Amino acid sequence: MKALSDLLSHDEMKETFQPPLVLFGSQTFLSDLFSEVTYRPNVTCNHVIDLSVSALKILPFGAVVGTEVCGARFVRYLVVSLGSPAETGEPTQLSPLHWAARLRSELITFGQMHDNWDSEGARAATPETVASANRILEALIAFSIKARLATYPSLTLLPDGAIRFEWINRDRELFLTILNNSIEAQRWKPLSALHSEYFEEIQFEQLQGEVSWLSA
Amino acid sequence: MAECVNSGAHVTDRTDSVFRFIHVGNTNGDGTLNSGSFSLRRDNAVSLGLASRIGARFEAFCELKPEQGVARLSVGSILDLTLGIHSDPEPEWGEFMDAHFVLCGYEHLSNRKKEEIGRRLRDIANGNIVKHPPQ
Repeated sequence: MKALSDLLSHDEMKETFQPPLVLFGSQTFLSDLFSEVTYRPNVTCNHVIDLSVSALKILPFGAVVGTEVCGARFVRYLVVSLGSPAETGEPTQLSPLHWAARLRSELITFGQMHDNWDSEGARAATPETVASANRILEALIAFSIKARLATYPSLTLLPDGAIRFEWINRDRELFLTILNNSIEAQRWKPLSALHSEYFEEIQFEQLQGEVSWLSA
Repeated sequence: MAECVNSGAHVTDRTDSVFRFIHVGNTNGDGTLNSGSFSLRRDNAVSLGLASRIGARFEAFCELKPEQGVARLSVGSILDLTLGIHSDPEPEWGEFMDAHFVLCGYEHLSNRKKEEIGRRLRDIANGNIVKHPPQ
């Protein structure tokens, strides 16, 4: 799996993680994410990350972590949610890390579902399908950031155990359907079209092309 | 299965409608449905409840699958997609056994066409969600 820092430049990373940010997460996850920080038991683990400097400064603990190191860790631990420090504590806009965290969580749920999960005889997703979907999710995060897409995909589990990313952007819609190691891509434009303009089995390396089409 | 030939009675009244149970796994974060609700890929039977046979017992019908939501589609909109709806009594539906119907007429289609139709059914249903699945 590629780390975000392999796919984004340092400047792109800083642009993506617009300051100021607040990290919300369990102490277990945060201590795993930032092992440089000595966490005190029973202390709330919300941290402001100051991106105005070349490294990430974690408050109130004062630890400093390099942005590229931090970015790579975010990819591995997307269950940590990033939000703006608004009064409500709620994010004002869904960042790639927000939707990625949501989709990562959904994939975990899909992996735990058994046969007949819909009570209509649906098959469970195989571990191979879930692993492929996770790998594709990581790539979609990076490609989405690069393409500066304002929208994000949704996930669905299909009755044959396939997992699908559905992604609408402006007047285009893309399906990426994963079953074990195979990936099917299907495109519609405009959204009102019944018939798709493209339907192919693609390789992992072609994913970026699909996201580029979506963002065109 | 999805065979329309040599099967039970077909629904032809375009003014009637059908209910489709919606699993939470087939919804998006904003509560809308995704195409998983009507996936035809495996030629699996897509269960529907015929509104005219459910009548005023809708609340009781929902209790068949209380953990799921319900969307409503007009029969006409389904027939327009060259699909059929045929009777398939389901004992597990208890008092609603005879209200159980399934989609048919797509078994001969390519996967590409099946996905296109499933997506269109999603869009139709999204305009008629009667009950959202509990999150």
